[in-house]
Order: sequence, then C-alpha cells, then structure tokens
Amino acid sequence: MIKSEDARPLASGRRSFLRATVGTAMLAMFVAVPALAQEANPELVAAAQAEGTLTFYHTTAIDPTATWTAAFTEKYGIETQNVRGPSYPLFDRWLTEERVGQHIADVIQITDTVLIEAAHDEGLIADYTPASGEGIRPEMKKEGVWYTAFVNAMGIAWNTDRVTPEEEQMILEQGWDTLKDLRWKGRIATGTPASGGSSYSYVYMFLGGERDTFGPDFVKAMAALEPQVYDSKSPMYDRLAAGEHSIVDQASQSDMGGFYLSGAPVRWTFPSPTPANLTVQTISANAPHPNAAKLFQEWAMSSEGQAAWFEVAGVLSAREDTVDPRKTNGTDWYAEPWYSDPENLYIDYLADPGYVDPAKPIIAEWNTIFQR
Amino acid sequence: MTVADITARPLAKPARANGRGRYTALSVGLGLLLGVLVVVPVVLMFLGAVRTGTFVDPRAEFSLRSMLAVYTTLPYLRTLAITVGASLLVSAIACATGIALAWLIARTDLPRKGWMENSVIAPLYLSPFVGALAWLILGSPNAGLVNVLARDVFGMSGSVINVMTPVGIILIMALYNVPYAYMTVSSALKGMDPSMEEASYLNGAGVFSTALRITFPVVRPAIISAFFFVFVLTAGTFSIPAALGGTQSMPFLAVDIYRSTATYPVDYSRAAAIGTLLFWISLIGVAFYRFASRVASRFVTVTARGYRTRFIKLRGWKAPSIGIIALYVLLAIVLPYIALLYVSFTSFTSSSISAARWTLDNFQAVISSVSVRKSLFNTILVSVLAPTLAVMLAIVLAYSIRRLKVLGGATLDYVAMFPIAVPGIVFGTGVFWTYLMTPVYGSIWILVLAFVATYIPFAYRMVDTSLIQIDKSLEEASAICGASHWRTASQITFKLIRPGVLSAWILVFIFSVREVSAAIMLASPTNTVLAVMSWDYLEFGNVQNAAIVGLLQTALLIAGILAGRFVFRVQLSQPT
Repeated sequence: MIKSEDARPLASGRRSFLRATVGTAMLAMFVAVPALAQEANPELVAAAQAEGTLTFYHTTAIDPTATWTAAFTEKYGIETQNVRGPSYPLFDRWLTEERVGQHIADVIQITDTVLIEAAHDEGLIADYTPASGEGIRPEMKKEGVWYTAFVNAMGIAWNTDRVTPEEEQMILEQGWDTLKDLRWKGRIATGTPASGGSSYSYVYMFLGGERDTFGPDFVKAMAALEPQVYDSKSPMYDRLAAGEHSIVDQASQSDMGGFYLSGAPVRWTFPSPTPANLTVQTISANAPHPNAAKLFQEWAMSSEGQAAWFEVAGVLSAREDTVDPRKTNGTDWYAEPWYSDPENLYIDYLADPGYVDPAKPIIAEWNTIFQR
Repeated sequence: MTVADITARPLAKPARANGRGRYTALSVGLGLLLGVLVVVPVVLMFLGAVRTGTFVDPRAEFSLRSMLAVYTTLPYLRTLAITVGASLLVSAIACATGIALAWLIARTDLPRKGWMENSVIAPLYLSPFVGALAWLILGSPNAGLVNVLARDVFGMSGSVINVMTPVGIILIMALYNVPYAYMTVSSALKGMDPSMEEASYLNGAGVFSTALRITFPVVRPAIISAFFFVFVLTAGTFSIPAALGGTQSMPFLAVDIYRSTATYPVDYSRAAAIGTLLFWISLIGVAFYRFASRVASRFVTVTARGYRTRFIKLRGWKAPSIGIIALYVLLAIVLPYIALLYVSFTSFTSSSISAARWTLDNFQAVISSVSVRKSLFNTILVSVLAPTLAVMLAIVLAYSIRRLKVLGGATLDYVAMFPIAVPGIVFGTGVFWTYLMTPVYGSIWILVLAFVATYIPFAYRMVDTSLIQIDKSLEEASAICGASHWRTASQITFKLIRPGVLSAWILVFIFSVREVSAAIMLASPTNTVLAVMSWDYLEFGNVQNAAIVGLLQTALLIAGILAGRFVFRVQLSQPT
C-alpha cells in the first residue's frame, strides 16, 4: 500500500479518503436505521404502467435476479423480461442491436463501467438522474449515466472437508500470500479475467492498481500451482462446494453465502486489500419502454430496491442507509467465528488509466503468465 | 427406419427429360430459399472472418489478421491437429461400439431385442452437454461420485476415472455418438440380404469369419457413412469439451470459437476465422459421408425381402454379450441419470452421498419459475415447427430433384447438405447476422429458421433415401390410369415415403429440443428455449437447476417419441 502511495500520491490520497469513507459507512451499517422508502414520482409511475413491461439485460445470477425483479413487478405491476449474459458478450450484443436499430433492452446491468462510458460517448446511453440515486455513494455512480446496484467483495474460499484446521488457520493468517503456497498445487482453482467485469476487476488489483505490492511475480507464483482455470465462476464455486477443489479465489459473498445457506462445507475470508467490483445499471438511449426503465432505475437505487436484493444475496449495498438485515441481526454467516467483513475495500480504481484502457492489457499479461 | 420395407428397384431413367423447362420456377424458388436459409449465413461467416469487428461496428475494417492468425500460427494449427485427431478417435470408438451393438442385436439370438435397441438409442434423449455435466459429477478426479465411492467403500487411492482429460473427453463424446453409428449400421444390417451369410455358413465358415468376410464388407458403406457423420458432428461440438474443463483438459477448435465470443476481447472475427477452418475440415468429412451414404443406400435395400434372418446362437457368449450391452447402458444412461437426479434433489453437489442434503426446493423453484415455463412453451413450439418445416422442405427438395429432375438438381442437393459442415455455434453467428435487421430477429422464428437450415441435411437425406427406394413403376401405373401429377404424388409417392418422413421428423424433433450452440447465439427475452436455460443455469446459476432443466428436456423428448410411436407408429429404428 505504501509503495502504491509513493507511486501515485494524488490518487492514493483519494483512495485513503475513500477507504476511510467506505470504512465509516460500513461501520455505520451496524447502527443504520432503515430509511423510509422513497416514493417515485406518480406521473412517472403512471407512464411506466402504461408501457406495462420492461426488458432487463443483466449479469447477476438468474434466479436471485428473477426474485428481485418480481418485487418490482409486485409493487408497480410492470412485468420484466430478464435476459442473463456475461458482461462482455451481453454488452456487445446490446451494442450491435442498438447500432442496427433493434431496440430491445431498456435497462442494462453489467460489471464494467468503462464499456458503459464508451457507449455513452457513442450516444447510446440515456441521460437520466434518478432521484433515489442521491443516496448512492458518490464513488459508485457517474451522475446521469450509470449507478451502482450492488458492491461485491471478492476473497478466498475453501472447502472445510478438503482443508485441515491448520490450513484454515494459515489461510486466515496469511491472507493473499496463501495463494502462493505450494501446498495448494493441484488443489486450487481460479477464474480468467477475460470472463467479465468482476474477475477483471479482481485481477486488476494484482497486476494493475496494486502492482507494486503484488505484480507479475505474485501471479506467476499462483500460476505455478497449476490452478484449474474457469471461464465462468459459477461452475467453479459448485466444484469447490463438491470438494473438487480445496480452495478458490475470486470468492464473492453473494455466491458463497448461497452455498453456506445450502449447507455446503464452505468458508471464506476477505484478505486486505479486498478487491470489490460494482454491478452497475444504465438506461438505453432508445429504450422501448423509457418510463418503465426510469422507474426501475429509481426503484433499484432506492433503499427499498437495495434491501430487496438482500432477500436473495449477501452483498454490500451501494447506499449507506441500507444494510443486510442478517448483518444487523448477527445471523447466518455473520454469527460464525471465522467470518469477518472486508475492512479495506479496493474499489477506487475506476478512473485508473490502466483500468479504463480499452485494450485491457492486464488480460493479455495474465494469459501469458497462465499460458492461455 | 422402415424404409427397407419398401421394395427398391434401380432408378428409372428420367421420364420427363424434355419437360424440365416447366420446373425452372420451382428450381429457382428452391435455390433462393436454400440460398437465404443456408448460403447467406455461411457467406456471412466468411465475410466476418475478414473484418476487424462486427458488421455494424463503425471502427471495423477489412483485415486478414484473424485469417492469418488462425491459418498460419502454431497454437491454432496445433488445436486443429488435436481436434481432427480426437474427432477421428471419437468416431472410431463410437462406430466400433455401434457396429458391435448393431451386430449383436440384429444377428444374434439375444433376448428382449426391442428393449435393448431402445436402450442403445436412449442416450439421444439427453442433451450432450447435460450428459457431460452428469459425467463431470460422476468422474471428476477429486469429487467425482465414482471416485469418492471407490475411495470410501473400496479403500482405493487416487482416482479410478478422470473425465477431465483428453481420454475422458474423447470417451464421453464417443459414448453420446454411439446411437448414430448404431442406427446407421443397424439399418444396413437389417436391410441386408442374409442369403450370402447363409452361404458362408453352409460352406463351413464360422461366425467370426462370416462376420468379417461377408457381413462387414456388405455394410461397409454404411459404416463409412456413420464414421464421417460422427466425425463431422464431433468436430463441431463445443459443449462437451467446454463442460469437461475446456482448453485446459484438451484444446478443441469449437471451444476456441465459443471462448472468442464469450470472453474479452470478444472477437467475432477470430470466431468466424476458426469457423472457416472447421468448415473445410467438415466439408471433407461431408464429401466422404455423401459418397458413402449414396453407395450405402444403393447397396442396402436391393433385395431386402423374402428372407428370414437366421439368428446366430450365442450359447456361452450370451452372458458376456448381454454384459457388454448392460455396460453400455450403465455408462450412457443409468449412471448419468442417477447423477442428474442426485444433484436435482440435493441442495448442493456434495461428493459424499452420506453428507448430501436432500431437498425438493430445487424442483419447486424450477417448476414454478416463469422463465422455465416460458422456455418450455418456446421449446415445444420450436420443436414442432422446425421439424415440420424442415421435413416439408425436404419432401419438396427430394421430389423436385429425384422425380421432377429440376434444373440444377445436383447443386441443390449439395447445398442442402452444406449445413452439416458448419458447427452450430458458427452457423448461429451467421444466422444472427442474416436476420439481425429483420423483424424475425429476437423472435421464436429466428430459431425455427436456424434449426430448419441446420437440420435440412438430415431431413433431406432421409426423405431422399425413402424416395429412391420406391419402385417408380407404381407411380407410372398411376399416371397411365389417368391420375394427375399431384394425385399420383399425394396418393402414391407421399404415402409410400410416409415412414421415412416421420422418422426424419422425429430425428429433427430430437435435435431441435436438444440444440444449444446456435440457440445460445440467438437467444432473446422472448425466444429462450430449455437448452439455453440449462446452459445459462450451468454457467451463471447453479448446477442443480441445470440438471433439472436437462431432465425436463428428456421428459419432453420421451413424450414426443412416445406420441410418435403410438399415434403415428413411427420409430427411429426399424423393427428387427
């Protein structure tokens, strides 16, 4: 961390400030009082209801998203058509559709803000500032363009049937350095940064933003363990729960929480700094249901919409006034002695030149190291 | 197929050589139809390979970059060699198994043949990638149920099987291709005149010697045809190698295509360039397949009547033979379905059955899911429309080429067989670009059109084979009695080819329910089908739901097949 501050004093000052902000906000979550639901403009509601439907291109898991959008449908009577895809192909396809005048999607949710801003420059993104967006943390939105729906922290997860108590203790103590330990050779799995925003953001911390702390040597040491590399992370988590792998990285709270609740022998930790990525939403400039899109964006960014997501997945809210009730009540994994919240979120990389570079050079570097 | 029931005679000479001009419009119409359905997507694939971006990307320009990279650099050429080698091996294993099973069921005195035959073709009712998922659950090195059981119960160390290796992938792909080899060879064996085998026995040759010197050479064209058919199908498969560890387990061109379209940088140009490479390989396979199937259809049914096949008494070999079939059924059906049912009814994929948490929640969640219900409805719609339209087009094509001798018949025949050479995932991309700017895009119809185009070769070949085998004198008799052309066709020809047509319908129905590669490329909010739901669950949701949707597909396929069997009395395989 100190090295990185030496390298980029200005950016780092901003980072320290943001880390402090996030830290304070997370502390505040313990005592936060649920905010009163902000009601949307009645005229907008009427116009949206007249449109009656909404097409939502999303990148979050299928069933939790269906449950989440069902809460919106129940409140406003507007049906949603959900289309799930990985960030890059989904966005690419939407771009193609827009460029030829096939306007299908109303709201697009992906995990890569760089792509959205490029599309905004091309005039394909609607300028809309939801009133509820005011409650979204300043670093988690680009006013009028994109707003963060959820924040996903990524750490290390392990299967307790495949890892000894001593090894578990070691993981908790060593943090990221455990990923270089030769004991995991043939027992570890990871995901390619080429698969999408969250994996890319995760790897970016090691090869980009925190290069001075980790850098290629760290990633090479990890590659030497010959991990099974997944193009998509969901199957990797499933294989961890089954015990095919003893340990994986890029473990997100939303997915691990689901496995924990299903009784799988998984535990996870968030070493410091903890890479987090933003799942952001934007409205298509040519949305066929523009008012439904605006209303959905209003709802998704409101404390009510954010709280509804906690019903299905455990992530951090992009709002300071919304908190996972499990956390407040100290239930589920929040009650486990091995669990602790991420303390030092690495999230202020969105404006880094290396991160926004459309060529995404760290993917090529990672591919070279992993010989892919 | 029941086509062998129909007497076949050598093809009559063209009856209407000087009347060809009358069918120019028909010929042009069919040419245009096939052009839009088949040729345009393939041409777009080639064009896509020489651009730096998509057709609508304002920054994209003409470039040979992808073509040069794919055709001249080592990683791709190495993958090409592995793809061809692995596909040949898959084909050899699937055909050897298929031949052995076909011979045992068609020529020996094994009991319960109908049941055995249904078991041998039953793997067709499982989507190949769901089958691969089942084998991942069974045979992954550390957590595979078979390996864990072997360790826990028998105290074995290491892993008994490992499907995440080249050998594992090749064997799983072979397993799911056995039914194709079986159906082709079995059909040839059943249609073959057994008198030659009888003569061999009378002259003192043994069972093995007769099989090797008489039976095998006679059905050789069918075997060659099956071999190249399986080769082409395998070379274009991406779902099985992708599900079993992808490139890390074994490099495969079709997996590279998928990765080019699904991972950053999304590179349709590279995907298309790899597609063209695969296209040439498949085209060679198709040329062999066409040649062999033409020879086979001439051969097989020449005098298939009036004989009673003598079944070879297996005696002491009966038990081992039943054992071989039972082993195949165990590997291809019993174990995979146990694995799928296991994950469907447990809350997570536990490698320890004793530690599994049993639940009905997954089933309830999937059954009550609006998206699954919609995709079930879409699947039914597509799987009825696509085979119906494909078979109708196949009848018109076969009748026009074979009976009306329309202009350019040979070209039409070749173009109709074209799509076999294009892997589904590449064809899907071509279809995407063909219809992107039309109202068809995003609707259920784009899938129907894609499936009709993809499966026209199968429907056309089966209908054509039926037509070849009809004695033309029957139609001529009808014409002499004063019946109009249409009346002859509807009253004589179409009635006689009905069994072949229905078999073709069922085969395209099965493919349409299972097809995932092209459907992924064309999925939209309103046209999602079960195969896409299952793939999405596997990739972005959970394995439990993927397995349940896979089982739903099987249920739908069995319902369709049973309806076919009892309502239309159609079978995929002809009675022994």
